[in-house]
Amino acid sequence: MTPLEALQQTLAGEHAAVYVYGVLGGRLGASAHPALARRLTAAYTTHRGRRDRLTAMVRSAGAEPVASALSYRLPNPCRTPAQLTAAARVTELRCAAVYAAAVGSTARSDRRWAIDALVDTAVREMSFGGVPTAFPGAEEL
Amino acid sequence: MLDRVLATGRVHPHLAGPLAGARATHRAHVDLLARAVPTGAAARRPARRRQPVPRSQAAALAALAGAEDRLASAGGGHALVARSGPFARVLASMAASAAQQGARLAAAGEDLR
Repeated sequence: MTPLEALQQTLAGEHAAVYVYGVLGGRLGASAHPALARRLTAAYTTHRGRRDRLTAMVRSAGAEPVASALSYRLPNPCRTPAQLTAAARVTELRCAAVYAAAVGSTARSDRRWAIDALVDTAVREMSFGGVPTAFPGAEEL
Repeated sequence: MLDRVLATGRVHPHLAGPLAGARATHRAHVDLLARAVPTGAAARRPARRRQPVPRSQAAALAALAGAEDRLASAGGGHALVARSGPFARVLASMAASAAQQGARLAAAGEDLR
């Protein structure tokens, strides 16, 4: 995978994450679950920022950023707080795999960005009930 | 880091539960690095002064959490300069794993306070 392909793949993953978090935030009764609402909002803001940053990174590499799909399949029905939490966890797990792949296919500042994103998403996953693993984003190891 | 986790477990046997994850994780990291460096370089340990284990359980967990965070930061730096992309991916994953352990140990330490 070329560095540009890695950035585009990561951007595609970020489009999906932003979509999913947008749905999750809209479906949660924030007044009944303020702590979860705060975590979902923080995750949404983080992923939206990453999407924008990746868009700029792809442009600066001289390419047209991959577009978002109209919609994405949700990880589960996303009705109950438990399902919303699980969907957030799955989203972070998927992002971790994408960031780890980006680390392996980029260099310098782009790799630094991917490393920081991987570390952040691995810890964020735990805030949605995830358990620590020996190789986040590279579970086949 | 594995040595430090094991030393903490010897001083604080009651922390076996909170330390189990860190122990398994760092053993997996050591095993992978040992396979990646077949010359045995990974088996040579740096002659570094051992950190004393704090006497209180909460302080011991907090100290380990801090060490995990520093390891995560250092690991990210190693991943950045790794020549091989696949090895950079491994090192970055290990850094993320240390960050997870840091968060978990810090939370466990807070629970004891």
